[in-house]
Amino acid sequence: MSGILVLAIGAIFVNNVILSRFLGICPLLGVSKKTENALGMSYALIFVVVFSALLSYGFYWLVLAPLHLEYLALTSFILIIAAFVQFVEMFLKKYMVGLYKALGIYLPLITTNCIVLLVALDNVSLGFNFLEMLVYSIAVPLGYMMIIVIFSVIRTRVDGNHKLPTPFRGNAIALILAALMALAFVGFGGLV
Amino acid sequence: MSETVRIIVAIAIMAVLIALFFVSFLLNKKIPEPEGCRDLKKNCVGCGILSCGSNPANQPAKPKTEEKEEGKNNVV
Repeated sequence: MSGILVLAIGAIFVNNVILSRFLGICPLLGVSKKTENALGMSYALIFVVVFSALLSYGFYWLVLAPLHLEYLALTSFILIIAAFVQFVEMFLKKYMVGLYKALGIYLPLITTNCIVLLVALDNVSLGFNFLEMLVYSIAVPLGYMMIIVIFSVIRTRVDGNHKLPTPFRGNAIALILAALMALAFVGFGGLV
Repeated sequence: MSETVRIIVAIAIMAVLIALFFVSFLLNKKIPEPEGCRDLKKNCVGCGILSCGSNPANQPAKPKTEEKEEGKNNVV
């Protein structure tokens, strides 16, 4: 049980996808201007990561591994994720219009989010069992959510500051903020 | 299982997955956007994610003739 806890804490704080693996930087810069947008993107990402990880994990162990076609994992996972996002969008459009209004705009962004593919690939390459896979697939987007929400709160304050010199405005100050946050999160290094 | 059969199975798996993606893509395109969601893409002013399909950078450019006509209408 402690292994599961260590895995979750490690994925959220220590090996955070944004700050230690430098993935998902595009949405971090693009969708963090407002906290509501950051939250919407995070909810959509958690949903897509968990279900696409389940699908890809099942496909790997039920189809690719028995046929010794493990080398197809990367290509097949990309197609599974892309198709899954299309089906989700279709389902939301037809049956859950309210949710589509809230999350629909973020679905095309998620298709291009490398974190979804990272989780699917890590689940098979690190040899996780089903429970570990599930915990890891929830913990990684939770870590992403934590960072993007904190980042958006700081950014709304910094962007509203008129004393900021012009060359630092926009993405320049956002990248400096991300670097400072990454340095701060190094402190979690010895936690697990 | 021989190597040849394995290669054929691999190609078949990829073909099935590509077909699945195309079918899902076409079905998704066929379903109309719900009321109140039609302007989601139009209203997108674009962010740092240029690979997103909603980003104005990826929208097809309007033909010049239309732009001219629009300009005329604006003047009138």
